[in-house]
Amino acid sequence: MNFRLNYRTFYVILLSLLLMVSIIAFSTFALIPKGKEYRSLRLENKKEQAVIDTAHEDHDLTEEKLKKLEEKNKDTIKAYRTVFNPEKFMRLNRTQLQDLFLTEIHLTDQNKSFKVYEVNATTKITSPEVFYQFLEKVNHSGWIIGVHFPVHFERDKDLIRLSFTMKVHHVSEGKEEK
Amino acid sequence: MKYSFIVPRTKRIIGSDMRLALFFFGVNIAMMSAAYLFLEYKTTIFKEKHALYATDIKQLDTSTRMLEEKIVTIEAEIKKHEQISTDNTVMAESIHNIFDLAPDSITLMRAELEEKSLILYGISPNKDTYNFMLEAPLKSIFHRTYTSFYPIENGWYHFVSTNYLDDENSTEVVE
Amino acid sequence: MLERLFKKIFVAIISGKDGYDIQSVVVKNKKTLHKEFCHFEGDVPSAVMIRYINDVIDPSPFFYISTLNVHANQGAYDGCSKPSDHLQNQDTVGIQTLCRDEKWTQYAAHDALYQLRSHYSTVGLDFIFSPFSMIEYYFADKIKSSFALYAFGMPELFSIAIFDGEKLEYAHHYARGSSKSVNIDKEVSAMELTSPLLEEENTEGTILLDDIGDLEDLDLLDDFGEIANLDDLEEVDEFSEDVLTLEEKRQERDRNTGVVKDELDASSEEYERFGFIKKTLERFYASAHCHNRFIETVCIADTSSGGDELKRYLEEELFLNVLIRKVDVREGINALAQAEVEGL
Repeated sequence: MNFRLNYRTFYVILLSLLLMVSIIAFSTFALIPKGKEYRSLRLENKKEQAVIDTAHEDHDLTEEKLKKLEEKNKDTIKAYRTVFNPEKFMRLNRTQLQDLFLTEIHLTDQNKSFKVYEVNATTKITSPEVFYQFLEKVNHSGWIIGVHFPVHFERDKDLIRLSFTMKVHHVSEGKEEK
Repeated sequence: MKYSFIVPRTKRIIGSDMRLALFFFGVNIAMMSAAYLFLEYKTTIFKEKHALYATDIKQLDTSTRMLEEKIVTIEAEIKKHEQISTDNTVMAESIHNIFDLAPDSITLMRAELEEKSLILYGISPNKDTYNFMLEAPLKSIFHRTYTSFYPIENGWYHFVSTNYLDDENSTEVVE
Repeated sequence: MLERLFKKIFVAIISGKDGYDIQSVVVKNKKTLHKEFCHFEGDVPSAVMIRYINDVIDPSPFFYISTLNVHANQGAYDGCSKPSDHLQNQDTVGIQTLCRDEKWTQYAAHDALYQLRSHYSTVGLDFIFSPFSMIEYYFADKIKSSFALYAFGMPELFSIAIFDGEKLEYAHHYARGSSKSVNIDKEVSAMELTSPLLEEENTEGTILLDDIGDLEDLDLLDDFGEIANLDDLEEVDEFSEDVLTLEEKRQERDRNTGVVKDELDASSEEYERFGFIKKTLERFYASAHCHNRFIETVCIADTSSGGDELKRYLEEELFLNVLIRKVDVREGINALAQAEVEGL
């Protein structure tokens, strides 16, 4: 049997073989490795994304918690960041504490977190009840004030002369900047 | 045409069979190239994300840590404030309780309250009144109590009551 | 541009009564690489012939198969106007024309072209050329500069064109079997039966007094070239014993008819061609295109061997200068095809 192959058919077969070899080579050396790389990167990315999502969630929860805390305790937080104003303090307590006089404001660093102003106060009150009310009121004064010993009461005719020490707590600048 | 009555047939370099083969191969190659380009693009994206991952996670951790530190700080502030408020309240109550100890018959002239000591100056009609009405409760509160009486003209007594609270490990101070 | 990378294959097919003659030429960048001749028997393209042609054209996508239009209904005329202006006695609806350089037109019947394409439908046709294109191709050098009669002859086909410079003066196509063809036997018998007055004879060199319409046409009397000085009576051809009178010519013709008839058996084709040329000249001289010009030269492109007899007839009978070129029509067709492709 004579098999006659004309030029056109020969070229078509040759071209087809060439293209087929190219396609197989491309698949083997480029496409399949790229597919494998894609798959492994995708899996890795998925895991990383899960980690990032978890971290985001934690961050969001923490942020939420902080917000709530700040919201709930905004007065306290504000009080810590308010610089003590002796004039204002005297003005606010003038009605209960007569002749209120604040002296010797010292700045002492008790620890790294807070600055503490020590204030000596002398005043005249009508009865110890006034002092008790003052102590109650000072907790909501807009500063963080702790009344400390020594507390001296002394009868002075109809009034009671009172002296006590106050420590005003303030968040230090360095801590704030941090 | 210059010489011929008819025009020649269209001559194509690529015959119809070749064109069909090229078309199918072309489609195949186009699809494979598109797949490769897609994979390349996605791989690049994944690599970029991976490079950013470390930074992102670090940033998130840092941010979360900062928030937590802030929370700790605020909680400490709140706790301190609560402590201070409690101390103020306790001080008020303590002073209130101490002044409530003195009966009506005894007049307190002066009180010096320290952290661990209390000095009362007052007037009592007699020693027994003081001893029974004021000293007894003082003794129940303080570790050491010392009293001095000074008679006054009207037969009453000035008294100075010195009371100390000792630490557990401290030795007693004898006046 | 890519075409330059490929070879070009030109195949010329000529059909005759004994089959098909094929020439294939392979050309690349105007250089002939290969030439091949082949002959196939049959009235229709055989399977062997088709396979041969397919094998020949296979190496390149740029192949051109050409043939010659041998049908009777074709011709040429001067100018490029509509055929109806020139072909009064014909139906011009089915005519396809091709204007040549805005100077003259060759025409062919649609039916003939369709028949040719159908005939070669198994291999396909790219070009169909006219015999008048062959005349122009073979005598391109002479047509430009001279006034002559040009002819192209193949078995059963004879095309004649008269060119003056590049202007086509007259053309006629003779094909065996057409109504226009001149049968030499009829011609001979016509000469026997007609009266001398009606006889068409060679009037070249003579003055017909009937042509002188009025005194203004006395210019015709200037053509006294053949009449010499009366003093030299011996030299006056009219009275020369060598020049035969009309009656004598007839008598001689009667004598020669028998001789001619004998020669017909040996060279009927050549004599037939002689008759075609003679007929054409007569028609030309009788037409308005003549303008008192006389053709002195005849150039013939002949595909067959021989031609000496025709040359002798033309030289002796019609006193013409004759040039006969032996040509291979297949070469000519492939050359025209190559020129056509270059012009594409």
